[in-house]
Amino acid sequence: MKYLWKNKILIVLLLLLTILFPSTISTPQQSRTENIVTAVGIDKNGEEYEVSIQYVIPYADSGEGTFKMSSAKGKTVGEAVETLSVQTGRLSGFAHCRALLFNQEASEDDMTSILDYFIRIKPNTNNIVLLHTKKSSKDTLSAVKNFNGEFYTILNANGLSNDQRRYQEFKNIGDYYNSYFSPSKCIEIGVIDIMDSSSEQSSQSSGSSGGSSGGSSSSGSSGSGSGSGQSPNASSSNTSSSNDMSSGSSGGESGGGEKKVFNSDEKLILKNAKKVALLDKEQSSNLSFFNPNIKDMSYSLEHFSDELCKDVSIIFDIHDKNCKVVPSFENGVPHYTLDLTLNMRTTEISGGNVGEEMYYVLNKKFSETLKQTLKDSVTNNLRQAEQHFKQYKYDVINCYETFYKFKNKEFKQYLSSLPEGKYYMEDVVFDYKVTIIQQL
Amino acid sequence: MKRLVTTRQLSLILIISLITLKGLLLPPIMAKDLGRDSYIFAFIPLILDFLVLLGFLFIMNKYPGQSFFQILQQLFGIVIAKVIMFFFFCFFFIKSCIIFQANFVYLNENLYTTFNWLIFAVPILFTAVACAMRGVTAFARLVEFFFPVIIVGVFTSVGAGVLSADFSNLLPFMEFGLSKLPKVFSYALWFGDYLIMIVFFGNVKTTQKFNLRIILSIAGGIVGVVAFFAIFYSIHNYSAICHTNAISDMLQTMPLSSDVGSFDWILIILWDISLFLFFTMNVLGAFYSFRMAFFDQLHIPVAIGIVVLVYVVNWLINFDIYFTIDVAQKYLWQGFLFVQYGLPAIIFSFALFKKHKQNNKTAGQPATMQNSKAESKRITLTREGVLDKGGSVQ
Repeated sequence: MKYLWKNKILIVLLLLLTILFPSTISTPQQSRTENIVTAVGIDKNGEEYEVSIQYVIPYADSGEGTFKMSSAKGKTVGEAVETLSVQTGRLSGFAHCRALLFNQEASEDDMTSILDYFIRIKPNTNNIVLLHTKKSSKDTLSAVKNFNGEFYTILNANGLSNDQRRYQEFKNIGDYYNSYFSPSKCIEIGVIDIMDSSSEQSSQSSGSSGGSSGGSSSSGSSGSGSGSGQSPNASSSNTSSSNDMSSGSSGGESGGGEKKVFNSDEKLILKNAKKVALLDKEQSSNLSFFNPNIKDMSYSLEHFSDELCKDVSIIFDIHDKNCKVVPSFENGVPHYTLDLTLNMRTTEISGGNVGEEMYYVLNKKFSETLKQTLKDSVTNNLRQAEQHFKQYKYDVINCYETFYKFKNKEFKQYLSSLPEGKYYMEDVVFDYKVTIIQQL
Repeated sequence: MKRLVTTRQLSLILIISLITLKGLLLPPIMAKDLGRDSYIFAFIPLILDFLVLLGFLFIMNKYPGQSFFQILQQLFGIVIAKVIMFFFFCFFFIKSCIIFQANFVYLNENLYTTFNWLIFAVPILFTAVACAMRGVTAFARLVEFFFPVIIVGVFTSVGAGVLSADFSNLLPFMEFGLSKLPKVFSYALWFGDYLIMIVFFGNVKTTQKFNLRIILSIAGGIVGVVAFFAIFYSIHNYSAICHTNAISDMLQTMPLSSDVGSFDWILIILWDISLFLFFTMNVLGAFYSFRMAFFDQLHIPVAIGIVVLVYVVNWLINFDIYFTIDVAQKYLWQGFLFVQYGLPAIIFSFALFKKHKQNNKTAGQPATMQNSKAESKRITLTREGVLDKGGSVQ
């Protein structure tokens, strides 16, 4: 006892133990009180929200968790999550949540009211990837459920993860709020879909939807082909991402047959937290040329003819893509110049009349005709994208930001000169400089 | 021989003081008022603080070996000196409350969403009291020990952030001109970093190039803080206002964090060490100021009383940091400006113009050796012990 009183450090340790020990041992294991949610789906049906969660309950002894799924309804997202806690007997912990899915009706409503719950919960959930699904989020999640358990595997397998591949840029909750508070208030969200693997038919509709204003876009995109996006489209050129719905399948029980989840390569455009357009595959790819963060793409040129070949389809892999945007003003009119450099490599030639020399030339050097055709084709794609975003008045290419940052005074003058109600992008002149570099 | 704080230790203490609170809520709330120019506006109070530091270094050099209170006594007399120390006590006490609260918010948001802070805080307060009682040299050694890991944490966090930063988000430069300049002073609460130096007067070993080394390390720290702000705004741009803890949110938004699981937790804990050190530093400041302003006795009850008061105040306001910010920005900022910049300016002016009568007997000796009655008594009793522990208490 005498020794004890002399040793101050020991006294301190004992005191700390006395204070902390009771509260520590009386606290239940976190695995008993919380579900680790890996993905969440939100379906809006009328005035009600149905929240579905894919979650795991970790067991220390086995080292593996069991993936489960639950869903509950509520007047608000928070209420539904509360109900889920009652149903599962555990609180829902979103710290490890990878993705948040929402359905068609939710996208037409105010998205901010859906996401609000998630930015207020702790810890920070800003890096949850947002995904739109044209079917119900609940069905999509149940299709995912049995595929190696975790949703993130599905994201990776479909090129949905920004870290693994760069075919698409997927936005998270942080990005959503960043764009929501920005002057343009626009964001593009990735779309995933499910299909019945027994029939191998895609559930995606091939035409694009028009958006809130009711129109629809013109071109139909390729649908169900697997592999690198060969298109049955008869147009002279077509773009597509190379991660065409192949991997990332999963077993699911709903709807009878086995369901597959795939990246539909479409994009949902939100403006002011509401849907303005759903871009089909082709429109989505066209828009990707504007995005400096998307580096890898696949590009197909169809019915190409020159001195060496006739009516062939050539698939290119865009190995690297560099975008440089130069904003300028001419006579008070804003000019948005996109300097696009594409490093391309031939990956496949099919159809038509292909001679021996054609293989040689395509592997060694693109012909001038080919380069020019590619330039024209890409420029045409860019024009189509431009036409679409001007028509539906959305700015996901950061046009406003670019002018505001680099040509601030002129742009402010330009904005003040615009008649009331006129969209600022309407009078912007877009110039494109496309450079094709052959990647050997 | 009395143990003194080295130049290196003092630099590290001042850097901890400079960076800690600014890595949390300040960048987001400044973004609300000052937008993307916040990092430029942050320069103003940082430079003012730097001037305070220069002033303190000047006084420290002019009155070597003397404690801050002794200098005040010489300049203003004992009554005014005590009044000034009372102001400093208020400053350090309020700051301790805020850091304690920030620590709660930080842990609550990042690691433990449901934990009983009232129990968890007791050991922290207990350790802070122990550190305050052990004196400045012990505290300085503690800072020196932890500083490398804190810096590794900071660099890793900021380095990870740089990867996803888009620096064009900082443009246009000075978006709203100087129209929002006065707003920056309402954030006074987050500045005034070098007032803690008052505790170290007379306890620092002034080696060769002492001033230069301090100035260079703080200048580097200021550049680092501004760079941190710039990176934070480059990453989050318009959504900067949605964040609560800048440094940890910088980590959680990086793509890497999805793959490496809880790697960020290690870095979060490292920053919490910095918060603990900063809290202790302010408790130390409050402890020293209180004793000089009121009475230099009953050290243990006084130290415990301060932290208990910090605890109770926070408990009463339910650890609501936004309430504190609101109060600080509406009612306290003028007072903070006065204590942070007004008082040092007055003290510096007096020190500059008042002729200093060097006491040959005591000049150059450590502060603990000089004319405090209580100190003299204790020296007589246990000379070695007092010289060790007395560093902070003079």
